[in-house]
Amino acid sequence: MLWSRAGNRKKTSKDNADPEAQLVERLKQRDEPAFLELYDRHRRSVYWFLVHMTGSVALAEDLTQGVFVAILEKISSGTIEQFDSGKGALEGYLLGIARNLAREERRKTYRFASLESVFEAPEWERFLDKFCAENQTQDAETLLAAQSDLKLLYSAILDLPQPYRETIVLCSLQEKSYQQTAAILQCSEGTVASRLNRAKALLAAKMQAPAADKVKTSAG
Amino acid sequence: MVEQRSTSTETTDASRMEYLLGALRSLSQQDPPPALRERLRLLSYQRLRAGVEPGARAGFRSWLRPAFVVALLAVIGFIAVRVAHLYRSEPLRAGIELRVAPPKEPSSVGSAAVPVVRGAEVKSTRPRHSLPSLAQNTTARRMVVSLPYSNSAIDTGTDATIRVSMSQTELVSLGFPMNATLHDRRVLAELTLGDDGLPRSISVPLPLELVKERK
Repeated sequence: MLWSRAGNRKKTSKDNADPEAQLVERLKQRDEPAFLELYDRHRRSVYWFLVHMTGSVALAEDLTQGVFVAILEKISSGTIEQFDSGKGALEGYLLGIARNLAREERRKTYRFASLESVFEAPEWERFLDKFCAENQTQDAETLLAAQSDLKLLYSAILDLPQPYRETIVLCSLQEKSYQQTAAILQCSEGTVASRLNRAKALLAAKMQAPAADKVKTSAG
Repeated sequence: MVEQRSTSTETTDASRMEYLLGALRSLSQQDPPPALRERLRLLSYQRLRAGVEPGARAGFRSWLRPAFVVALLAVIGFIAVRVAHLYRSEPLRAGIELRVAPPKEPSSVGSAAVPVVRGAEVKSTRPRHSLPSLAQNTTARRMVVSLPYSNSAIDTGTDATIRVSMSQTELVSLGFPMNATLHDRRVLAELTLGDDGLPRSISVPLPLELVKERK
């Protein structure tokens, strides 16, 4: 009994000190700096989730703006009041909106992910430089091989069915826990785990297939 | 031995994939372009700080639209009333309204069915609507009917007119709208001739000038 009381007390004091709960309160009060703080906190996860889900940097930018504009509308109309920080994190809320927008966009345009837009982005070049520097691979051949492998993996991810792709993006690329992913995808943790395993198996199969093709080509 | 090799291959593939996933994860640490933040900052300024409360703005919009529609309808109604009033008060162009009776057969000339000209009686302010289609030109105080065999596209350059008197049944058969005639009266008309000598049109001055028919 004493333990549970102590636990409750601790939880209450933690809630009061929780910066996210405070941020939510400020958002409910239509605080403009709070909105920008929300953006600064979660911009990367939303943006990269959308890049991975759409395969297009330009589209991801538009949709990221759409996510935060949706939040602005919720603040303006007062529907943000319905958000309960006790039920889920703000990041999950934002990623849920991002997921819906990405789905809607895909349904609307039937646009296939264009890898070129990702690989031609300056961020990608910078990343490759960093990647080569970290791995002490200065020679062009290793750089090309690494780039080829990464492209292959990325195209395999973009080829995955939507539920698997969402799971691998959230769990593997954004390092979300099963619990967080389950909250965002609105499914059970067991489903997340099984989807993740299945997605990795599919990726491995897709990664092996071009390698086998290469071997066949060289043998022939 | 084969099983061991395949297991080790799978492990290598899995670790390679994890490695590549880790590499992609580090790519995902880049920030989105700063312009995006600037756009959102402006948007948040517009929506949260500047201007009216959004609820109030929505309310404003909700009553603005019907008010605009009502105002538009009022303007349209006012214009319609003004136009109708203008038509009503417009001075009678023809000076006299000749009501159209169904044209009698030309064979009934001289019979009791010959229409009778009554005194000038203004019934309507829209003489155009009461004219049959054959009557092409109605100028003030004159009613003109082009003759069917004339070609109005050819400008003769002449304006020779001959004053003639015509029976009322002839005029009716030519399409002149008249339902009221007097017995033994002919109507004075003007016949316009072309330079080819052929008559082009017949015009009847208004009010009708009647002459007694000679027996």
